[in-house]
Amino acid sequence: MAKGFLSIVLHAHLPFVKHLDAEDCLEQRWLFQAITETYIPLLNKLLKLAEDSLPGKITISLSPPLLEMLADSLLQERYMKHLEHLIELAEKETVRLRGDINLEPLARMYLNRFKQTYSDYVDRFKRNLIQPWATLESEGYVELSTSAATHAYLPLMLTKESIRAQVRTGINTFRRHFGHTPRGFWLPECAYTPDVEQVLKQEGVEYFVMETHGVLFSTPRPRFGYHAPVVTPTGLLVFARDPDCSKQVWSADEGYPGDPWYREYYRDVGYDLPLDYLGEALPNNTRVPIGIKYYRVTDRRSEYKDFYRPDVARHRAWEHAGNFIFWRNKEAEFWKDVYDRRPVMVAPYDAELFGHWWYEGPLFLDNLLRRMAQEKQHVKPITLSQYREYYPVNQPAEPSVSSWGYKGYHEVWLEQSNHWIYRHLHHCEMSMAQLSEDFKHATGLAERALNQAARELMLAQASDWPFIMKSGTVHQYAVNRFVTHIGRFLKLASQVEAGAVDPGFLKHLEHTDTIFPDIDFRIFAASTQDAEKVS
Amino acid sequence: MWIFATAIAIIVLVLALLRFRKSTDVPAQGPQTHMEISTGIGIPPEELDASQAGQADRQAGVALPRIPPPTERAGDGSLASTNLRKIDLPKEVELVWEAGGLIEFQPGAWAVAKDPSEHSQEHMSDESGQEPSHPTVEETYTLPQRYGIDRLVLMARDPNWIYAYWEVTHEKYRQKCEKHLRNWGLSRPVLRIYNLTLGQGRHKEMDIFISDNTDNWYINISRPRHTLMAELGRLFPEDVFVSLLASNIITLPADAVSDRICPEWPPMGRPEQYPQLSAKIGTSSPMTWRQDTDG
Repeated sequence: MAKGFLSIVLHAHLPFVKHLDAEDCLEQRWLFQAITETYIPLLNKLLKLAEDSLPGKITISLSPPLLEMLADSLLQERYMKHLEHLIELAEKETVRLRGDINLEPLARMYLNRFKQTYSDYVDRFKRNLIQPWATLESEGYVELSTSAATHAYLPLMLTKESIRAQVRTGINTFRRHFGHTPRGFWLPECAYTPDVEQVLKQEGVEYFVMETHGVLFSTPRPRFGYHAPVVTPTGLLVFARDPDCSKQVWSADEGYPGDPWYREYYRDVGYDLPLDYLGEALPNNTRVPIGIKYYRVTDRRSEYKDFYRPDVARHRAWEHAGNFIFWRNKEAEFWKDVYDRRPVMVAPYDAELFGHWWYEGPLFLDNLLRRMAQEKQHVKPITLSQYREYYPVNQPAEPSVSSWGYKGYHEVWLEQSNHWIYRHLHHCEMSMAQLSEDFKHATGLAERALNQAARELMLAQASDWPFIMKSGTVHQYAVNRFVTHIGRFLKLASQVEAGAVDPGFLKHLEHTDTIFPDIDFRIFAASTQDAEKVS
Repeated sequence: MWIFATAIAIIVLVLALLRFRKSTDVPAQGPQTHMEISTGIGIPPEELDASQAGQADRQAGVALPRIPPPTERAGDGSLASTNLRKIDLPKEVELVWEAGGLIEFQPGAWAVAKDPSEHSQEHMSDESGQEPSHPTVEETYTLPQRYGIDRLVLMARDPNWIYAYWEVTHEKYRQKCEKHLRNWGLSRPVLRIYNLTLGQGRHKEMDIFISDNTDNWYINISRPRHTLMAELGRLFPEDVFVSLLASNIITLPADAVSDRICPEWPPMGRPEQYPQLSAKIGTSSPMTWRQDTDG
C-alpha cells in the first residue's frame, strides 16, 4: 500500500498580449515561445503517456488569458509565421555549421525539432491547443482547472465585487472552452484572501492550492501541518504546497535546472549572431532569446560555457526524476510515522518552467510520471480531487492570507515600483461596481460600452503588470499597458455617464481588446451577486 | 488694558474669518471636477502639451487648498491677505499649495518618469506602435493624479507592514480648515492607527507624523493577525486630534502557527519539525525565473 501521495500541479499562464498592428513584437513572443518550448512538448509527452496507458495524473491549470490567446485565429496565424522564420534560421544554421563536430548535430536537432513542432501544430493539433487537453481530461489522464479572469492579484483588490467578477469570469471562460466547471481553481500567485471563498463555492469549485504557510498558519492549528488539506468555513478543500518539492525544482541555486549538464538559457544565438544574419527571427531587430542555444550551464558562476550534450542531459533528467521520487518516498515514510494518515505532497509549478526555462523539464516530468507508474514506489500520484476518495473527512480551519511570492505575502506586487497602480485600480473598481448598478438596464451602445469597460478594467487588473514593474524586465511595456487600459476604462465610463458613447472609439476597442467576448458587465453589480447568493 | 487688547484681537479674528469664508466660496471648483477628468483623457497628441496636462490634472484633482498663492493674492482686493497671514493661514497651507506645483512633476502614473515631457512621448510611442491602422482613433492617456473623492485606503502588505494611500478633496480640507482656523498653524498632519482586535472598541495604536506633501505611506507596525484601521487627520496642541478621513478595516496576515488548538484535531507534528519557511519562496512569473532567483 502507498505510504503517501504526490500531486503535481502545473499552472500555465501568460498575460493577454495581442497587438493588432504590431505583427511581431517582443511581448507577443512570450506566447509563441511558450507554445514551442512548453505547451506542445508537454502535450506530446502526456499524450504519449496516455497512448502507453500510463496514468499521468497531473493537474494542469490553464489561465483564461492563455485560453483566449490559444483560441485566437490571428495569433495562431502569427505563430505559424513565427515558426516558419525559426525553421528558416535553423536551416541557415545547419549550413553555417556544416562540418562542426560539436555544433552541427545541435543545429540539426533544432531544425528537426522546429519542423516537428510545425507539423504537430498544423497537422496533428490543427492549430487547436485546447482540444488535446480536453481529450486528455476526458480519458482521465489529467485534471484541468483554471484561474482568475486576467490573473488578478486578488488580496490587493478593494471590492468584493471585483474579486467575484474576476473569479466568475475566469470560470465562465473555462466553461466556454471546455464545457464544464473546473473542480479546482488556481489562485493567481497562490494569493489567498477569504473573500474568494464564497464565489468559488457558488461556482461549484471544490479545492484550491495555497503556499505552505497559508495552510500551516491556519486557525486552529492544523493537525497534519501542510501534509493534508484543511476545509474552509465554506467547505472548500485547501491544499498546501510542499516546500521540499518546490525547492528541488524551483531553486535556481540548488534545484535541478541549475545542473551543469542542462542547457543554458541565456546563451542564445539571438544574442550571439549578427543582426542581419538573424533577420526576421528577431522582432524588429531587437535582440531576444530565439530558442537556439548551443551551450550548457557548465558552471553557474562562470561566463565560460561548454557545448550542450543532449545525450548527457537526457540521462541527467532520468536521474533527477529518480532523485525526486527517492525524496518523496523518504518524506512519505517519515511523515506517515508522525501522523496517523498518509501525507499528500502537493507540487505546484509554473508550467512555463518546464521547457521554456528548463529545457529538459518536460523530459524530467515524463520520466517522473513513467517511473511512478511503472516502478514500485511508496508514493502514489493522484490528482487533488482524488484525495477525498481516500480521506473524505478533513479538519475545518481558516487558512491564512499568503502568496507564493518572495517573502510569502504581497510585497512583490505592492512596493515602491508598483504601489501607484492601486489608487487607480481601486477607483475604477468602485466606479465599475457603481456603473453596473446605475446602468443595469442598459441596452445597445451603452451596454456594449459597459461590457468593454469591464474588459478594460480586467485587463488592467492583471497581476503581470505590477510583477513586471518590479522585476524590471520590460518595465515600460507594463506601465504602458496599465495606463492604456485604465485610460480606456475611464474614457468609456465617462462616455456612458454622459450618455454620449462614441461608436467609433468603442468599435476600435472591441476590435483591439477582444478578450472575453461573452462578458456581461452586470457581473460587477453587488445586487446581482446578492440575488444569486440567495437563489 | 489687556481685556481691550483681547477684545480687539477677537473682533479682528472674527472679521478675518468671515472674509476668508466669503472669499473661498467664490471659486466653485467642485462640480467641474468630474468633467475635467474625463476631458483630460484622450486629448489628441498635438494638443497635449505636457505642462497643460499637469495643469489639467491639478485642476481635476482639487485636493489642493484653493487659497490663492501670494502672487495672486496681491491683486485680489477682497482678501485681507496681510491680516490673514498674520493670524492663521499657516505656512503649511502655502507649502501645500507650492507642493501642488511639484506634484504634477511626479505623477503617480509614471513611477519612473521624471520629466513631464517624457510622459507624453511615452504615451504616444506606446499607442502609435499599436494602432496605426485606425487613424481615426487617436489614443493618449494621462491618468489623473486625483479623482476628487475623499479616500483613505489601507492595504495589508504582510504581517509587519501596511501601505496607506489617500486623497483629501479641497472641500474636505477647507471645511476642516475653517472650523479649526485658529490653531491650524500649530497642527501637524497625522496618520493615526487604531487596533480593533483588543476588544471594546478601538484602541489607538500609533500616530505617524506625515508630511503635507505626500499622499501615501508605508507603516511598519508588526501586528500579525490584528485587525486595524486608520484615520488621517491633524494633531493640535494639547493632543486634540481632528480627523479628516477614516480608512477601511484590514486584518494583517499571520506570521506563525496558531495558538488555537481544536480538541478534535490536536496537532501531530511539532512546529520545529517544519522546515524553515521564511527562506526564499518561489517566484512566479513565466517571464522571469532565473533572473529573479539570481537576483
